[in-house]
Amino acid sequence: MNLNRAYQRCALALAVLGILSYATAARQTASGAPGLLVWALPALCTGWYLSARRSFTLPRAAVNALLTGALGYAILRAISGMDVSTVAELVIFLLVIKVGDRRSPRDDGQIISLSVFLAISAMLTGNSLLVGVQLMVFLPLLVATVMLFQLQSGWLAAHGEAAAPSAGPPVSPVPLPSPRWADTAVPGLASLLRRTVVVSSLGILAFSFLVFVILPRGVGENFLGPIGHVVRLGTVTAFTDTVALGDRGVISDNPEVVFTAEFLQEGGENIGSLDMTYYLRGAVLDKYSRETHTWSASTVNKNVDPRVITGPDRMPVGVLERNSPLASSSSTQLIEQVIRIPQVPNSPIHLFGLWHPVTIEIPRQGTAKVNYTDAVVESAGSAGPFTYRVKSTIAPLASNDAARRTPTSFPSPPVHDLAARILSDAKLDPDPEQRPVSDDARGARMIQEYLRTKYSYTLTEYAAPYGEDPIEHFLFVSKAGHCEYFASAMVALCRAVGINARMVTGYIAAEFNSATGQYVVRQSNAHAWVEAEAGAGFWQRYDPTPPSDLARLHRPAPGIFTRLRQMLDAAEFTWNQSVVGFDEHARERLLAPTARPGDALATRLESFAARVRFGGSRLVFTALARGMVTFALVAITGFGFSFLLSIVRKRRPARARRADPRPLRFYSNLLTLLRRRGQAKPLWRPPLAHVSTLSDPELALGAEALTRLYYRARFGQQPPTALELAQARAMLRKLGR
Amino acid sequence: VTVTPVTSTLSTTPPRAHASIPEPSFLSIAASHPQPRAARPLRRYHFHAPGLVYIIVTLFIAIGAINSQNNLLFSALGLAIGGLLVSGLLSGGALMGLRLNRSAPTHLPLGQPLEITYQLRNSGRLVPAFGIHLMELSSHPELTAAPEVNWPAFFPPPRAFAVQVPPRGVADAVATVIPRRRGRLTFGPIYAWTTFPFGLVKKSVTLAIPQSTLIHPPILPLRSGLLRQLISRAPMGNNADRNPGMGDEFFGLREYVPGDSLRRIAWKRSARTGDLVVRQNAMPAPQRLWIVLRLVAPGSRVPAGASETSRLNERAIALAASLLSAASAAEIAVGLAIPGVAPVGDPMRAAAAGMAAPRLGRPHLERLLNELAMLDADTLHRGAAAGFPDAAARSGACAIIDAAGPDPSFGPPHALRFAASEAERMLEDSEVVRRTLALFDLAPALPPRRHWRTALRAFIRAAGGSA
Repeated sequence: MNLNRAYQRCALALAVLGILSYATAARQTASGAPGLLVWALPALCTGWYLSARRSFTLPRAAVNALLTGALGYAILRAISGMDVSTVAELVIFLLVIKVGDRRSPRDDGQIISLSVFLAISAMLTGNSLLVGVQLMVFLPLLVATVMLFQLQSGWLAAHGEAAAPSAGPPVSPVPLPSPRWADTAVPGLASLLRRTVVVSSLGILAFSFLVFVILPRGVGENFLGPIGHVVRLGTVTAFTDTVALGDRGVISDNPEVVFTAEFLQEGGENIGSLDMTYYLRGAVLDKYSRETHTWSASTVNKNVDPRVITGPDRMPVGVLERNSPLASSSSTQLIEQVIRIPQVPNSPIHLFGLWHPVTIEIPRQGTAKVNYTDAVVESAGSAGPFTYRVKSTIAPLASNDAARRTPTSFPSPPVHDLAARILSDAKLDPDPEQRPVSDDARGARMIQEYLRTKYSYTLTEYAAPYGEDPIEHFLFVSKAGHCEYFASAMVALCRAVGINARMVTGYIAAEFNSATGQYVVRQSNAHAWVEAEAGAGFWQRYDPTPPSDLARLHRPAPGIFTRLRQMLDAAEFTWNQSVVGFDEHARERLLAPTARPGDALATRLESFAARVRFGGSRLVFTALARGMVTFALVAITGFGFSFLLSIVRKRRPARARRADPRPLRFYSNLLTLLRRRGQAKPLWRPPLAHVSTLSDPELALGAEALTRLYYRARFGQQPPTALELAQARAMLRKLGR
Repeated sequence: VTVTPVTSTLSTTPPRAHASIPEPSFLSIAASHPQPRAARPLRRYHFHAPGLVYIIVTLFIAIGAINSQNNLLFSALGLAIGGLLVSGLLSGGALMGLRLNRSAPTHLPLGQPLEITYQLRNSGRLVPAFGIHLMELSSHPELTAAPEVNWPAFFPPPRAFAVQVPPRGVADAVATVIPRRRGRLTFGPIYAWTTFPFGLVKKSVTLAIPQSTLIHPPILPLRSGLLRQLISRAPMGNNADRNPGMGDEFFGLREYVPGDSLRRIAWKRSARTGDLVVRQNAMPAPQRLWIVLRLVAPGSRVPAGASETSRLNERAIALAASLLSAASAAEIAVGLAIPGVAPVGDPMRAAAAGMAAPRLGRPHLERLLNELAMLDADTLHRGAAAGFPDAAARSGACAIIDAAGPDPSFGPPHALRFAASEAERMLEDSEVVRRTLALFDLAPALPPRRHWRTALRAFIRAAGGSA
């Protein structure tokens, strides 16, 4: 095992992995994350190649100039706002500069330390599964690199790389052997070191697991403010509580998971399925500005109740329908939604739930703002993974005053005319004064159907001319748009004929992962739809977006990639549940003295049995089919890999026959040198015989010495010593000149 | 560390055994040298700067984890603590089963590299030992029984490194140093330490293994023809040994025994006695060379200061050793006389002190080289005792090496005189010779830097406290 080569490879891999893990963690928040990969990785690899292979180091002046530049950049970034990304980018700069300035083992130690700091920065920036996997790879690599570094620095300290004779007089009477670290090979070291790395890594992981489980959670939280909080706070979710027509709005094609949702019937039965789609509302936008063409939430006449949640445990925060008998009724059929967000910021966020929410449970400390009028909740608390539960009723609620409607209008004559025509076609009176309140729901449905059938869905923006209302432009000119236009148009049409309507933004849960029983909600599932009032306080959901387009956009097409993505999602879900979301409750469950080891397994078995019972044989066959497909895929991949490996192994001996083993590489280099000088050795001629044919006396002398060394090593079973190899290299260099 | 002056004498005392010099030595110093003995190894954990930095970083991670309740930071904290524990376990476990020994040559000419080989044996069954640093210590406060250690006067601290010692395996680590002076160098405790695997905890083992090596004066190549010139100036005759042999000189007569050649019968003597008597010849004696080494005694007038005196004496000794070695290799019986060497102990041996009659053979040469290695000019007698030895004037060639310069009145006329200051004239003109002679111009080696704790203890002890 050549220690130097092994160390160089491990250290380079460690630095690359440090940058990669940080870039992975920062890919959502830091705009420069992809840029890091573009410039930092090539710079790092080039610097490493030059320093390791060519012994090139940057001049001191250049190093100082680069360091000054990096510090200046960091200071400028810090002035505009100091966070982990500022420090991490400075670390990356330092790492790249340091790679070009490797002069001593101390520099190598600094490179390892900087890589570790990058890994810690990655932990502080993101906690996705990918980051976790990279850090899991980082650990054994770090262990191996540090061990090799210890051996390297120790060796250099003892032998002083070509200057051993700090232990001798300044001028030694006889030449001392000066072994080189780069040539140091220790037989049998590889397997021992590999074993030690594996055992150490496992030991560290075991200790880590113990510490992870034993340390109590929730103690001392936020005692120093925001220090250590994860930067990737899930702020970019594609969800928005303000829709400006003409802007991007809720439209996103980002497949990043925002949260997972589980839908349970009373009794705990999971009612999720591949065919079901749920609308999870987050914000209600009932105010439209004709100047800015923006939908937002009005604050006038809203029943908003700010609350402070002080208890560390989960607690109910209130019944949305305060006066509704549903809150205490046990006969109402309720659906419980368990929403798991991997990471939330400590700023207020909207909580999502099905219409019509009844209760909501928030387990974290902080504040909550419950809007009883719109039935939406905003919550603020500590950052981190966050799980909350919402109970909603799926039965339509009866209106408190079915004969009364809220007066409303939309000041646009063409919109009014269109709405009136739609209602007239449906034999409904467009005049709200003449039309009974009970027909409002039918009128809204007619408008929904009209939009679904007469308008087409597109993500291409047809910008309205300056001064023209985008809703009118959509309704009468472009007749194509995305969900925001459909929802805006429906609200405008409804209001134009006196039906109170409002836009709702949130997410569509359409991607069911049967492996976890969860719906995976991505940024691309952000959506806007409509709620219309049929009687005072009797709001019903309508979605004017064409259903086929909706399904195409929000429900993944079946296929192998979808399956793979679902598997990854399942892994991510497990990661979030067991690692990122590990809290005091989970800790207590794990360490509970009464818990028996078989309990968890029994629970899982029961859950599986219930799923089989409810899902029937179809679920079993589906699971079997998937298992077989997965097995086949794994088997094919394994066979393919083995096949490739066998090809590589078959070729390797052939290459080995052609090329000499490494200690005898100097002879290959000699042959290359002779070939370049036009005196290539024919295959049939013995080496020494060929040397005798060389005309240049200096070349002949050198070649003879090297050939004899080769003979001795090849046939005399006396491998050349490090000193002889060094001399051979020096002679080759001399002959090459 | 100071080198205690040692006295020596040329004598015929039977050699005494010494552990590190297998062949007998007639040096009186050998009798007082302690025998090596096994001591209990001292095992210690040391916390050093990288470990401190690591703990500070771990504390920061802990604070960040508790403050943010970020589970990845909790796992990082676990990894950090695990790393510390695994580091301590691995390095401690590796050194726990480590057995150490030192191997160094019993003697060595000055100027040649001294290879100190440390043999490491790992008696552990499972844990391999990696990255073992080895150092020589001049003293250790906890090893009170350590004998006098003087290696710092010979060379800077030697260091060796063993990359690995597999479980139940052995490995050698070699430190190569070049001694700067002759004499008996004694080793003391060996300090073995490792920071493997992560450089956080330093674990050390200190083991007292007393051992010594005799550094002979340098053996340098002579100019060609010098030896022939010396022998050619030897007085004629006196070439027969005192034993019968096949030489030309008459040795004696003896009775005839069957098988004797008729040509060797001494007819006249046989006729007179009536019995057959045969002539016996003496064994041809080897050529003899006396080397008289005249050093500058302390207090004598010298051209320059004490350092110059020492330099001249060392050059003279180097010249003598080179002559002895070259003559011995050429089958010339060599003898050595050092006027002024003080006898030690027995006054009856005073007459023979400072002299060794010419003899052949490697053991004799080594005895002479040992004597030259231990020669201390500070103990030379002045005055009458430093006169020319008569024995050296009687037979064989004679070379007088005078440290202070040639003195025609000293020694017989046929003697060839050399001045130490002109040693280059006698020696081969080569880089090795120049560099070796340059060793005598070097300032004496400085004592090694002491560990701060050792220095602090010494300070407290000196101040009257207890460490």
